[in-house]
Amino acid sequence: MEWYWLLTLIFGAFLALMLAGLPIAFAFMAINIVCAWLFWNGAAGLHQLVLSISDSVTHFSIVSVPLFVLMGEVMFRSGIASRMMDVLDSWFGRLPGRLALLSVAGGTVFAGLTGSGSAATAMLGKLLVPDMERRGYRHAMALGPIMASGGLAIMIPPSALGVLLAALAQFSVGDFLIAIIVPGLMMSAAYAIYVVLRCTLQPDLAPRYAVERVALGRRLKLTAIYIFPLFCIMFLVVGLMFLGIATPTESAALGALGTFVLAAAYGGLSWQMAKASVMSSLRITVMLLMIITGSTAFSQILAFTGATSGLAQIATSGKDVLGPMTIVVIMQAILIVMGMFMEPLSIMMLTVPIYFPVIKAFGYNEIWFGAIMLLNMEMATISPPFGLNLFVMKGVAPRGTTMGQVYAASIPFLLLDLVVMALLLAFPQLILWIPERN
Amino acid sequence: MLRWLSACEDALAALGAAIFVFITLSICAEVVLRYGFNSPLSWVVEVSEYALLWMTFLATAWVLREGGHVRVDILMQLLPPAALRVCGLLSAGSGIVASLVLVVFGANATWTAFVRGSFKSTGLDIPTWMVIIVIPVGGMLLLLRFLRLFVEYYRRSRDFGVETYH
Repeated sequence: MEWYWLLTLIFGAFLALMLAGLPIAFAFMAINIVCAWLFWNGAAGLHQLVLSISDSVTHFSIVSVPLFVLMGEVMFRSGIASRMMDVLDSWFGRLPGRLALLSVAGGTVFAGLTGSGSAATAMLGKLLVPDMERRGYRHAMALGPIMASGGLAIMIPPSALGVLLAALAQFSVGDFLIAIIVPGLMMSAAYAIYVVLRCTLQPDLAPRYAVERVALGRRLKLTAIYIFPLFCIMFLVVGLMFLGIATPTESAALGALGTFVLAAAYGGLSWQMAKASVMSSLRITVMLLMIITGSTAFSQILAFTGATSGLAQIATSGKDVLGPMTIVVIMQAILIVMGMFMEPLSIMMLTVPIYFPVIKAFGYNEIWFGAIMLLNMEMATISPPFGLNLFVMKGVAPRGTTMGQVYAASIPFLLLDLVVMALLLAFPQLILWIPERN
Repeated sequence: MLRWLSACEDALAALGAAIFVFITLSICAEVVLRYGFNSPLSWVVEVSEYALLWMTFLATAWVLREGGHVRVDILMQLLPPAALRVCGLLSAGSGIVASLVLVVFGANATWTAFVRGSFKSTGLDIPTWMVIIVIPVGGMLLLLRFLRLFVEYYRRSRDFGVETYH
C-alpha cells in the first residue's frame, strides 16, 4: 500500500477513536498496537512496543514537567496567586481597560511561575470575572484578555508543554525555555497595547471607575512582601538555568521547593493544601505522560510506513517551487487548522516526527521553528470551536454567557497571536538572540 | 469488588505521589550537595527517570477513574443516546484491548528481562525488570477499570456525554 493511504488510515482511525470519546492517550496506544502487530511481525512487534513505552518517558528533562505543574498548584492553592493580584491591583491607576490590563499583567507573572495554561485561565477568571461583571465590562474586554493571558503560561518559562515539545523534537530543553521568553513577552505586550487602544476608542467596552488610592509607602511594602519573593523564585528557575548552574529539571525542583517555603512563610501551608497540590500535579502529569508513552513507537511507525520521508519529499520539492519560507508558513497554517479541533499534545505527537526532519533538511534552526510552533499550540488552546481553555473560560464566566460569546471574545487575541507569529517568522533573531549569546 | 478496585487504585496513586515527593526532594538535595559539599548524589538522575515511568503507570487507572485523561466529548453531546452507547462501548472496548496488551506483553517483557538478567546499562546497573514491571501492574488496574466502564455502558447505567474534558 502507498504511504499516503496508510497515513490517511492511521490519522482516520485516530480521529475516529478520539471522537468516540476514548482518552487520547489510549487512542494513540490502540493505533500503536494495531500498527506494531501489522508492521513489526505480530507478537514480536508488541513486545517491542511495550519496551518503547519505557524509552519514551524515562528522560531526565521530562522530570521537570510534574515539578513545573506543582509550582503552579502550590501557588494557586496557598493563596499566593490571589494576594499577588491584589498587590498588582494597587499599582494600577485609572487606566483604560484597567481590569483587562490587570489580567494581562497577572497572567504574565503567573506564567513565570507555572507551567499550565488552563490552571492560569481558571485562576484569573475566578479572581477577575466578578469584578469585571460588577464594573460593567463587556465580554470582549472580560473573557478575551483572561483567556489570552492565561495562555501565556505556555509561552513563558516554566512551560510544561514547552518541555514536552523539546523532548519530542529532541533539542535542548534549557535553550528552548530561554528562547521562548522574548516571544512570550511580545505577546503580553501586544495584548496590553490592544486593550489600551480598543478601550480608548470604545470606552463603553470597559467603563472607567474611580480607584481607591493606596498610599505609596504601603504599596511598596506590600510589593516587597508579596511580589518580590515571587521574582526571586522566577530567578531561581530561569536564572539558574540561564547561567548554566542547574539543569532545567534541577531548577524546577528548587522552584517547587521554593513555592512550598514561600507558602509556609505566608502561613498558607497546610497538610490539606500540600496533599491537594501534589495529587493534582500527579493527575495532570500522568495525563500528559500517558500520551507521551506512545511517542517513540508512533514516530517509528510513521517512519516505517514511509510517510515521514514521503511528506519530507513533498516539502522539499515544494521548496524548489515556492521557497522554503512559504513551506514553513504552510506548515504553521496546517497547525492552526489542527488547533481548532485538537488539543496541543496530540497535535505535537502527530506532527513533530514529520515536521522537524524537514526543518533540519531546510537548514533552519529547530529552536526557532519550535518556538513558533509553541505559540501555535498556545493559540490551539483558545481556537474555536474546541480549544480547551474556551471551555475552562466558560466554566468561570458569568452565568448566562454563551459559547458564542466566548468564541467571539477569543478572535481578536488570536489575530494578535498571528501578528506576533508573523514577526517571529520574519525576524528569527527575536527568538534566537538569547540562546545564541549563551 | 468495585470497592476493592477503587481502594487499589487509590493505594497505587498514593504510592505514585510518594515517589513524586521523594524525587522532588532528592533532586533538590542533589543540587545542594553538589554545590555546597562538592559530593553529588550520582543516583538521582537515573532514579528520577525511572520514577517518571512508575508514577505514570501507578496512577494511570486512578486518573482514568477520576476522568483526568484528556478526551474529546464535545461532539458526543450532540449524539442521541443510542449512538452514545455505541461510542461508549467502542471506546471502552479499545481501552480493554490496549490494557490487555500492556498486561500480557508487559508481563512477558518483564519476565524475559528477569530470566535473562538484563540490566539498564546506564551507571546504576538497575535490573530492567524492576523498571518495567510497573507496566503490567498499572495495565492490570487499567484493564479492570475499562471492563467496569464497558459494563456500565452496556447496562446503560452511565451517562456518557456529561463530563467535560479536563
